[in-house]
Amino acid sequence: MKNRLEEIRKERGINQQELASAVEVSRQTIGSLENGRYNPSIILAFKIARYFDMRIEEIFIYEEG
Amino acid sequence: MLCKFSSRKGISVVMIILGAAFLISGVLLRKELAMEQHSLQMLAGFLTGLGGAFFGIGSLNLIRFKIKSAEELRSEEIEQKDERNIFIQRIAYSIVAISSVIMFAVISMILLLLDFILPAIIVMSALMLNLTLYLVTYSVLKKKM
Repeated sequence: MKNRLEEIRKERGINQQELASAVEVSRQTIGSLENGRYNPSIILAFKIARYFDMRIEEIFIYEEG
Repeated sequence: MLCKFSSRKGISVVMIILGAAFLISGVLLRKELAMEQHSLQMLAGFLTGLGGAFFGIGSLNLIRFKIKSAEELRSEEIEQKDERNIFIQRIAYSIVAISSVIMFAVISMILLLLDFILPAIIVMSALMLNLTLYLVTYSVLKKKM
């Protein structure tokens, strides 16, 4: 799964720590999400989407195969 | 958040009380026992050790709550509940569990080869118990989810 997390976060001028605190995860988790090393749970995906006031599929892009 | 901190403080206090109780009963039991009562001496030693550990961990946690700021405690809490950390922990636990089963099997084979029949049976029983626990846990979780 790909995501636009880093791009959106930088557009809004937010650092990883601020986003991490807002969605109650560690900064490392945000880093791993941005690098595509870790896929979020549906709850975390919702939290992130709500934080940015966007839909999940606008941030996380599911690709078949 | 404050409620979570106080519940963690409560656990620390319970640990201190339990630890003190175990520690005192261990020391008193040891004093009462004769030197020949080896098994009970071991039990007293176990109680003392367990009590000491509980008391130490509980006290250290309480000191930690006093020293650290609310912000530091919050980030610690986030770190503990972080879903990626939990995911990593679960993978690590699974690897260790599978390795343990393999290790138990190898140890029981070695014991059999060395003609230590009783220890081999004990190890194999532990292995079987482990596998049974896995199957029970799996079926319970499968029904729940």
